[in-house]
This record gives sequence, structure tokens and C-alpha cells, in this order.
Amino acid sequence: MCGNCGCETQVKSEKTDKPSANIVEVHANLKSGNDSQAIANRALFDAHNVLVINLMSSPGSGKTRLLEETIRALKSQYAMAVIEGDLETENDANRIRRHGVQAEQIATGQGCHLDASMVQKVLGRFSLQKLDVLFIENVGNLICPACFDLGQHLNIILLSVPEGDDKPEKYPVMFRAADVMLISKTDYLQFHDEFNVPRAIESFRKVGNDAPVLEVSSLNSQHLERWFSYFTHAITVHQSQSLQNSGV
Amino acid sequence: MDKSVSLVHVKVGPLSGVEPDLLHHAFLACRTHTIGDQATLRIDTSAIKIRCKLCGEFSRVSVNHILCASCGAWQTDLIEGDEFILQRIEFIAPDNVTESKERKHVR
Repeated sequence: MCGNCGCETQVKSEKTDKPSANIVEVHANLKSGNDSQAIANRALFDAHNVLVINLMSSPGSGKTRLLEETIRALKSQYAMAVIEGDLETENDANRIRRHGVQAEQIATGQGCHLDASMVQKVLGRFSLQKLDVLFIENVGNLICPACFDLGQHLNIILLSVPEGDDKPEKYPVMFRAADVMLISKTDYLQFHDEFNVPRAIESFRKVGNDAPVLEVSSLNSQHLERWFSYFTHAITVHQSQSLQNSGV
Repeated sequence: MDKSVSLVHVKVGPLSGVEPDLLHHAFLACRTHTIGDQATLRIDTSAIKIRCKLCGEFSRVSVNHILCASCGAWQTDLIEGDEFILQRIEFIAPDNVTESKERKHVR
């Protein structure tokens, strides 16, 4: 075989079936390192009855703005905090802190996603027992973040109108991971006639996801109310499940 | 000479988020100066198999068309296709270690 590109132009392997080869059957999940840390994170969140929401999307689709609006409207009802993942800067964390909510920035350098150990390293900075909800705003990226469980309870994926309605089928692994898809920046629909909401939902269904879809615009209070309603329901469900699990 | 790894056999599903070609490149870089520096990486890619929640039929589908092939429903359970598994490792005993440079990349 060619050693440069792996093309099969020369001899095939003759050594793998040699009787002297020792074969070890492994059958191990190669993501188990991250997965076991994610399970530990989730156990810690559950021990403190904190709902953890992982927000994923392309850069610039409105994750931070949605968090700001959510905090503005609901911080008197729920104790919230945010982990911000970005390659560089504390800009997003600073936007959250302006609302009086704790935000811890993870700067990933050239890393394109958060993983469970990065999250674990900043958890000590939070008083989890005082929180109802911890948001993790993942690095803006529709590829890698989907593959790393952080210990969250819910994955929320934003698809903003300027991105186009066919993104789910272009990024199937990411959109399959969604527990809810938010079509964000719907105020742009009037300028962006190629974006068709039913087509976006169809594209989402084509990756085999039956999760709910909400249209939101941070400029539209009625739209935001739909998201707030979903969000508060998710907290209620989570807290009642936690009570059941703790045997109360 | 010490025992060496001759083959690493992994299974990659199309929905695992792992790209076989990129994994192969990474493997070639990572095996240098290890007991696997002559090792072949064999990558088997699985198909995406689903079971329809409505009609119960099994289908093999493509990565962005995960719909029941029988009734067209999108309410399906994934049976196979998102795995990233180390299946087996093969070693060569010291007296059989060869200087073979060939590599096999099975897709």
C-alpha cells in the first residue's frame, strides 16, 4: 500500500492473520474519558438540584442576547449563572455580569468546543447549592460541540434566520443533539425571504429529531414569552424529577 | 525487540462526529515513537440503522435523511450509527516483529 495517501496500489497486509499475532478484543467506547467526566459533572449538578442547559449554535446566532433577555426577565424568580465558552475574550461573560449574574469565561484558545473536564475546572467557582439554573454557552460552532457531553440536562440549539433554513441537514450530528431548536432572529424574516420556517422544521425532522421548535426574536416580547414559558416549564419538570429521585 | 502493536481496529458511525480520513491522519501522527509505530489502523464504518416508532420497521438511511424508509416518519430510534469504538488491538510477539512499512486503511 502507498505510504503517503493510503491508496491500495501495492500489496495488501499479510501480517494481520499471522498465528503469532496476539489479539485483544476491546470493544470500548473511545469517548469514555469525556463521558465519564460528564457523568460526574451531572451527578454534581443533580446533587445540588441545578438544571444545566448547554446552548449551541453558529457564532453570532444570538446565544448571549437570548441569555441576557432571559436573565433580565427571570432573574428575580430563578438563581442563574453562566459558563461562557469562546476562543478568546471575556466579552460575553462581561455582558452577562452587567445583569448582576455570575459568569465564568472559559477561553479555549484555538479549541473549537468545550469538553467535560473544562467545565469541571470552573465549577468550583460557583455556589451550586444556591443555583436553580446553570447555562453553558458553548463555543459558536455547529460541528464539534455536539460530540462532547458536558453533563448538561438539556441541549438547546439556535438556528438564526440569516444562516439559512437548510442548516440542520448540513450539520446533522449537531441538530440531532437538540432537545429543542430555537429559530432565532425571526425579526429578520421580513428581509430574508429565502428563509422558510416550515422548511427549516422539515430540515430538522430529516435528521431524525422530533424535538420541539420555537421561533424567537429577542426584539419581540411575544416571541420571548414562548421561550420563557418553555424554559420555566423545563425548570419545573427538572425540579419535580429531582424531588422524586431524592425520594421526597 | 519488544512486543509491538500491529493493528488497531476501530468502528466509526457516520453520526459519531468522527471523520475516518482525519482520524487516519491523526493516527499516523500519534503512532510515532510508540509501540504502535508500525501499526495499521483499520477503520470500519457502520451504516445508520433506525427503527420507526410508528410502524416498527427497520431502515438503513443516510446521514441527513433519517426518515423511516417504509412510512416516511421522522419519529425513529437510532439502532446503530453514532458509535466510536475500539474493537480490538493486535500485537506481534518479538520474534515476529517485521520491518514492514505498509499500512492498511480499510474503509
